[in-house]
Amino acid sequence: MSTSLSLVVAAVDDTVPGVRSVRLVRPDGGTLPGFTPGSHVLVTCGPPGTSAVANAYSLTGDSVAPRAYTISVLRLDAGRGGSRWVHALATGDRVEVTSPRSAFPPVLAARRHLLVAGGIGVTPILSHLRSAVRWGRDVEVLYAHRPGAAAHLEDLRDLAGDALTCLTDRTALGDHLERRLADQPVGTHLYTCGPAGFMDTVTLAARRLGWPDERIHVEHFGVDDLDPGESFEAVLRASGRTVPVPSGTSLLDALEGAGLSVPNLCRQGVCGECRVRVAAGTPLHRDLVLSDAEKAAADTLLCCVSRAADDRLELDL
Amino acid sequence: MNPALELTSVPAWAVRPSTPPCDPAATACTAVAVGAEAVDVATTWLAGAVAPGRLHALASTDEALAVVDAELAEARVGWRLLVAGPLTAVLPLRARALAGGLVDAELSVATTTTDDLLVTCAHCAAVTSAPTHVGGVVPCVGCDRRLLVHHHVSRRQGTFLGYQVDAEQWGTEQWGTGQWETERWEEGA
Repeated sequence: MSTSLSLVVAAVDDTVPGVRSVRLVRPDGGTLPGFTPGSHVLVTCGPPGTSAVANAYSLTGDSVAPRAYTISVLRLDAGRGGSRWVHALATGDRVEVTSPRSAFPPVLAARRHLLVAGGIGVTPILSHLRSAVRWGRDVEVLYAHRPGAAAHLEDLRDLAGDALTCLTDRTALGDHLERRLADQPVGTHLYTCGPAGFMDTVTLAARRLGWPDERIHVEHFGVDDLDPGESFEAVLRASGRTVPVPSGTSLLDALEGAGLSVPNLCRQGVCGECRVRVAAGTPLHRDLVLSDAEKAAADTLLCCVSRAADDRLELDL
Repeated sequence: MNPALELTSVPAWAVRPSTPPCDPAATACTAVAVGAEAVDVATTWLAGAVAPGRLHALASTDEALAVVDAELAEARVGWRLLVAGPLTAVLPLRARALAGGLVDAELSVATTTTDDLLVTCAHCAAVTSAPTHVGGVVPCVGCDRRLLVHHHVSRRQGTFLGYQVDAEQWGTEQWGTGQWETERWEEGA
C-alpha cells in the first residue's frame, strides 16, 4: 500500500481548453518524495475521508527533490467524475494523493529514447523528456495532437528543440511513425502513452518493423468500458462461503457486498491494489497491471475488473 | 551439487552445441561465424530468415569482435544478429553485442563446440581457457590455484566464474601454490 500524502492546491492553469494543470504542494512547503520519471500518483477525487474514485495521473514536473507535484487532467464529461472534480478545484483546496508509483520507467541502459505521445498522454512523456535532457540522453519526441492548442506544447519545445515533431493529421502521423520507427539506431527504446487505439497503432507499427517487446514500453491511463461479463460463483476458501457474482457486477463489488474488506484504490484495473490469490479455477484477466507471465500463471487476479473464465472461481479469502 | 541449468546464468547452448532459428520478425540480419563449422550453422540460420541477411566468415574471435562493433554502429532497430562458433568465441561476442545495446531477443547464439571454457579466476582475475565443464577443476594460468568452474557465466565478460576448489581446507597441499596466503599469514596480515 502506498503512503498517502495530504497536499494543497498551490495553483491551477486552464490555458489549454479542456485540460487543467494543477500544482500540488505540501502544506508546510517542504520537499516531496522524488520519483522515477514516468511515475503517477493516485488522486482521491473527492473530499478527504470520503470514499471517492481514485484516478491515476502522471507527474509532469521535475522528479528530483520536487517542491511540487504537477498533474494535467483532461476533462471527461462522460467519465466517472474524477476529472470533473479536479476541474472544480480551487487554490488552497486539500487533495489526497498516494506517494508516486512507477510503472513506466526509462531504461537507463538505452542508447536512445524515442518518446511518442498522443493527446493528454503527453504527461508521462514530458517527465521522461525532462529526465533525458537533464542527464544528456539522446532523445526524440513525436507528439500527436488535435490542431490548435495542445497540452504542454511549449514545455516540449523548450526541452526538445529540434528533436520534437508535432503531428496533427492521422495520415501524416502514420507515415512519420513508420519512417522514424524504421530508422532508429539499435539500442533505442520506445515509450508511448495516449488513448488505447493510438498506443495500439504505435505498438503494432513497431512490432511490424521488427521491434522486440523488450524495447516497447506503454503507459495506459485508463481502461475502456468493459463488457458486463458472464455471471459466476466465487468460493471463499477460508470460510467455504459462496458469493454469486452476477453479470454487470464486479467481483470486488460482490465481495464487498458479502461483507469482505478487500484493499482497493482505482477500481478500474490500473493500480494493482485489489490483487487477490486464486486457489482454483481460471481467471479472465481484464486489467492493465499484471504481466503476461503473471496472467498465464493464473494464480492471482485483480478483482475490480477481472472475472472467471468458467462459472466458478475459488479465492484464498 | 549443481542446480538445474535453467535456474542459473548458464545458457543451454553453453553446455551443448546448438543451432537456433532466426526470429521471423527481423527486418535485417547478420551472421558472424568463427571457424569453418560455424559457417554451415550461419548459412542455415540465414536461409531461415525472411529479411535480407549478410554472412561474415572469420578465422578468429578478435576479427569477429571488430565486425560486431562495426555492425552495431550501423544497425537499426529490427536487426537480428547471430554469433556462431566455439563457446570460447561466442561468449565474448555475446558480451560485446549486449554492451552495444542488443537485447536477448535480438541475439541468437549458436555453439559448434562447448568442449573448452573461458574461466575467470575470482582470486587473481586471470582468464584461463581450458577443456573443462561446469563443476570441473582447472589450474589458473595466473596464480596456479585449482579453480572449480562455478555454474555462473558473466553476460558482461563472457567468461565462467572459477574459485579455489578447496578454499576451506586450510593449510593443505591442495592450495595451488598457496604462497600468497602463507606469506600474508606469517606477516600477521
